[in-house]
Amino acid sequence: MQLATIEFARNICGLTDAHTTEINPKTAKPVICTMAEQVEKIKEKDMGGSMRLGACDCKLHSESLSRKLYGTDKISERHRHRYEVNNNFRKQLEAKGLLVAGINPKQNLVEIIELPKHKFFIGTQFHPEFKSRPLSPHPLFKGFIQAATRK
Amino acid sequence: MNPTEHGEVFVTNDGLETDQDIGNYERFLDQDILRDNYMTTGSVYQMVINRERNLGYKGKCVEIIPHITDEVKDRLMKVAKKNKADFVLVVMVCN
Repeated sequence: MQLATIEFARNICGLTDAHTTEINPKTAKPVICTMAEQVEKIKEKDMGGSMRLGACDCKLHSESLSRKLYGTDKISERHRHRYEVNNNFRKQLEAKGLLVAGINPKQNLVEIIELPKHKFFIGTQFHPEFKSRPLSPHPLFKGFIQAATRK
Repeated sequence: MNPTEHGEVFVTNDGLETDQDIGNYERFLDQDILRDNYMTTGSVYQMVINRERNLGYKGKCVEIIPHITDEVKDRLMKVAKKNKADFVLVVMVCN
């Protein structure tokens, strides 16, 4: 999701120097940046088991493909990350057609992005594979296969 | 948890980073596995040492036997009680 956001910012929003601070800490357009809760941890080199970890709630946009695939408004998914979409760029990204399909209601973090003009373009901040199981595959993977097989 | 040695870094619902074996068990058993079900030498030692530092052993001499071994046993009992299990299966993984 993070690199898709950067690509969208560069090529659709015209922010040619958009980047993540993880790769370029001095970028002028940090569309992906360290989460507020992580800044201190990185400074103190507190790097063991200190990411944003485990299950978090996510509210889905009513018009999104994700909402359709999950079949519910509120989901819980597992995370493992320190960086996030920078909310200062959110309006700019949305204005050009990036759909923020899922947000964390407590922290107002972008958890899912979609490009509605595509048949299937979903990027997630969480790891859907953690909750996918052999006999109950994750709705996003199922949706992806379905979209790929549709003529 | 170097992914080149451990494969996937699997994350439990309650936010523990584990070996991918837990991912295999969770997916194939179709049951959420929580942090109490996962134990490493490091996590046991860390807990015992931190407890000693916080006067949890009241200044007593802390040794592998019985303190580390007791911590291992306590954790197994805790899991058994929590899950109301008849028995606890312990799987040892050496990487």
